[in-house]
Amino acid sequence: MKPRIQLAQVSHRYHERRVIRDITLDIFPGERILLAGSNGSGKSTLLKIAAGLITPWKGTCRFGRAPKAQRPFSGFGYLGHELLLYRGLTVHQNLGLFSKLKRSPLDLEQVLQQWDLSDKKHRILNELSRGERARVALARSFLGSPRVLLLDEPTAHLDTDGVALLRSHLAQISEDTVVVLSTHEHDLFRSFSNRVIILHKGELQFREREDQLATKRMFDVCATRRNLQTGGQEINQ
Amino acid sequence: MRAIFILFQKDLIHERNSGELILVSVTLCLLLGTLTAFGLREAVLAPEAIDRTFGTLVWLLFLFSGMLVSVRLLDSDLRDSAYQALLLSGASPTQLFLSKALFGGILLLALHALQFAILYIFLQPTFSPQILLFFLISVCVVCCFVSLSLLLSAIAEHSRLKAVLFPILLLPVLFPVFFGALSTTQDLFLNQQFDLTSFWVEALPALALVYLGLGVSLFEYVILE
Repeated sequence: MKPRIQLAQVSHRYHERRVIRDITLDIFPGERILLAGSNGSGKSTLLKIAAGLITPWKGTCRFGRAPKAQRPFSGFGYLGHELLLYRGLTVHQNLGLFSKLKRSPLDLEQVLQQWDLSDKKHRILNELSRGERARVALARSFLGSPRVLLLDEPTAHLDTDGVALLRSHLAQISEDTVVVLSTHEHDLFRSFSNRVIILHKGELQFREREDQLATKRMFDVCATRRNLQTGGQEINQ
Repeated sequence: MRAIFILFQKDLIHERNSGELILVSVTLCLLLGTLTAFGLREAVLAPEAIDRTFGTLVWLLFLFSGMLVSVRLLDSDLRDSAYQALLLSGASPTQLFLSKALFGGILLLALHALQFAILYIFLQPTFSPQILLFFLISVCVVCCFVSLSLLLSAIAEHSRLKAVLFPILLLPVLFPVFFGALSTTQDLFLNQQFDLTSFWVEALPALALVYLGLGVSLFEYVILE
């Protein structure tokens, strides 16, 4: 099977600070990846590189069989720390715009209903709460049945209902779809993922496929490291 | 073409909802036009002096209001990185640039026409304005202006000195266009001439094409990290 996303010796830096170091990674169709790591470990940057929103300082990132990297990769569903929505448009206008561009066959009313946004569809985004906006951003990233879904801390700002909606949508997506999910709430998505990747200071520290025991051990290591770090110590493995 | 139309429609709807760009630009345009016209009337200039300065005044006002409007053309797209969602949805940077240039161009042409009308009504120059030919000159100048300002405002966006950096970058590159606009307008208004073989009449459309081409080819590198 050919990988859908190929990262080859990718490094990236912001000014003098190196945030990603020599990451080589193949992501295959159908993989559900849980991307873990402490704050500042490079998770968001890695997702942006994978979406083609950032050109890596070194190395290459390719999508599918494209002969050369074309950026950003159209047809990706991406949710980042920023909303990637127009604050001056209504919920309906925002989703309608991206739906038209993606030529999504789905009825917009249905999408609004699925994300429990029907009663807010005529409200300008600026008038919504941060949590409601996050839900619109999620609806946007799921539009058009993307082949790759990159979600950077999708539960941030969501209430319990929002998290439940997200989990039910993740459960319904096509088996072929690649999902990379960066989160600190490991327990919520542990059963969903079939591969775990841990980043530490920009380096790949752990990758495992469908090995629940190893995954469990890895989470324990993560938790221990976090506890020790908050105690003022740091582990260097 | 479909994507350009969708993006253009998005800009229109955004303006209809917020009105932030049109409101600011029309207010500014009315203020600048009326104040300049009243100021000159108070100075009791001779009709001959008004005729001589009219073209310069029209383009100076366009330059001031155009800069203040065009620096904000990309604001809605850059806020919350909304343009990234457009690109991820299949729109190309070129389509984004062309739709913005179309929207900005129409807006600037409308403002330019409004300012021209205000100055013409208040100052009452003695020549006949030859609207159609003046419109053609204006289209070329607006095309250059919008292409350059979109490119440079995206560059200046990453600077903390955006408001200062933008005119510093724009004015030197725009100088030949502005000079050509003044020269052809003066010829048109004062001498009632529009010589198709004159240097500036040939240079303005060429510059418009060059700047538009530059914008199309470089915009991608300016907006993507």
